[in-house]
Amino acid sequence: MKEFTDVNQWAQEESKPLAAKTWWRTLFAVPVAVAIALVVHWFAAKNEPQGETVLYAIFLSGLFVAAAGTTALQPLWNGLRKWMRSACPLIAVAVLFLIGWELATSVFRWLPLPYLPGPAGDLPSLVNDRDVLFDSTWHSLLLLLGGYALGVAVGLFSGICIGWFPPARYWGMPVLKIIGPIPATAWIPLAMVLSPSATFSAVLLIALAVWFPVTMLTASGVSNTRVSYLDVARTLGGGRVYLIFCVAIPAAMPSIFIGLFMGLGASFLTLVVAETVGVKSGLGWYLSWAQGWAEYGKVYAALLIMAAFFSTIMTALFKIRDRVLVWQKGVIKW
Amino acid sequence: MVTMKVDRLTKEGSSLHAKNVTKDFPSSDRTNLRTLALDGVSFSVAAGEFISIIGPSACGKSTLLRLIAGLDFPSSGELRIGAKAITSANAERGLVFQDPNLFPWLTVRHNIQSGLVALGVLREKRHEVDEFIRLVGLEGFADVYPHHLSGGMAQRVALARALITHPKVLLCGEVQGCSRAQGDRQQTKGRKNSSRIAGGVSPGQRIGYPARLFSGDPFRTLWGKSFFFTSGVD
Repeated sequence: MKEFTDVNQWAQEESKPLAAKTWWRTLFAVPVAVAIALVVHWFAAKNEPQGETVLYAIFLSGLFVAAAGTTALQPLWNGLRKWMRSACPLIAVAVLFLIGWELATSVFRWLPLPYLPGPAGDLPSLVNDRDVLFDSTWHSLLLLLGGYALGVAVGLFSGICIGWFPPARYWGMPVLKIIGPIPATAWIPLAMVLSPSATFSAVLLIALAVWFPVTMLTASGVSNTRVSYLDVARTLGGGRVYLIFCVAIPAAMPSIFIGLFMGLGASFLTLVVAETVGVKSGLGWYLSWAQGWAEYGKVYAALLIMAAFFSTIMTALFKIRDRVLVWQKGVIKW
Repeated sequence: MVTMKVDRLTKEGSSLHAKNVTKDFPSSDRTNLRTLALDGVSFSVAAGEFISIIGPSACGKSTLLRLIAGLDFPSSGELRIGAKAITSANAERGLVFQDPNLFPWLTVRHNIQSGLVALGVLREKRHEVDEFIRLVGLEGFADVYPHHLSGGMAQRVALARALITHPKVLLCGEVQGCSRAQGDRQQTKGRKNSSRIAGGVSPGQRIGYPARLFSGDPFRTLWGKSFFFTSGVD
């Protein structure tokens, strides 16, 4: 134990000068980047109408204050320092991207308008349309969760049946192989004719998109359960219910989560397409509506919200996976 | 190359009888190799007896154990526990495999109690779980997942998991497995609690299985009655 501690200390000593150097660079990266962005924006704003650009200036100023404030506070607060160490380089590069964007659009006008407005042009859309955007996000969330939950529930059930019971495999596999590969969006023409409401058909389409990967990977995970685990369970007196729910399903969990991820990606795609085509609310609908009015600032605002929305859901699924598959930690590299 | 079978010491009418047991694996399309693993094996084991099955590689030892465990069925002949024919695997005949085969998604505690869960008696017998964790000397590791365990510790968990249902017959896939479960324990626990080990009381022995099985020296197992198998392939 003693040697171990010594080695640790030694390693820390060794890396200290380098870490300190990079740390100061990291610390000032964000304030410096934001300051440059403000200067660039000040030049760009000369060419633009007054009202549109003020919001972006306020945003950058706010960011500058936040960056300066956290930099000043970090010696007092350990948690903040840790977070800044990992987040600052990323934020700085994001600000640099904004600078590049503004230079390419508002300053040098390399990119064609109105398709590619500068960051100063997108922000007002985001703020002014916040009610509609919030409402759209809410509707998208309901639709997505409804369809995803239905697809996962049915997919898990059919996957377990196909993976475990040979007759279910015999009859289910051909259906899965024929229906599954058809993209859910290809059913839209049919769904629009047959379904009583657009929302209902969208839920079904999302569920269908999720169902295929979840069923496929659940079935393969269940049927690939190591025989020796099943043998052990049987010599312990486990019946069929125990074998399915306490051996086969836990053993299939890593595979099931791959199916859940693939299903989530497919559900995002189907959601946006379904909203663009039939449903009269949601982010996909907002996107095509904004495009119809050639308000590309709003298009980017919607894309921004979508990025945040989808990646939050993805992160939530990752968290659940980390919780469920905690036993894999150290066994495989995530 | 030693595979063994042990009967519990207590007289619970758990004598084991094999009569003309034959097991043959039919040829598959690909290999075209019909394997006769067991050819007319007959023996009787009285309750409390300790038996080693010895023979060269691939002579059918593990196949016989699988048949006794009820994981597989003889092509012909019969296997009985007392007067009852073996028709399926159950907790009456515990099997410690060559590999520990712990469930990787369960902690040590949950692995050990999985037999109680499978039988649906966890609620009544929960207190035994801690006893068995202590019995195999893994008090500090109850909430650890299997991949953090050394090979010997994993084998001890497998032993506790097989013993917790108090099987009438204990089958061990490999003598090293069971003896390692004990040897490893002596090394780690010996210094701290030498009196307990000095008495030579092993986990299995404490709840009524012969000591020879758990001795560190595989050849001491030969003290018991042994069945020598020969390979009939060539």
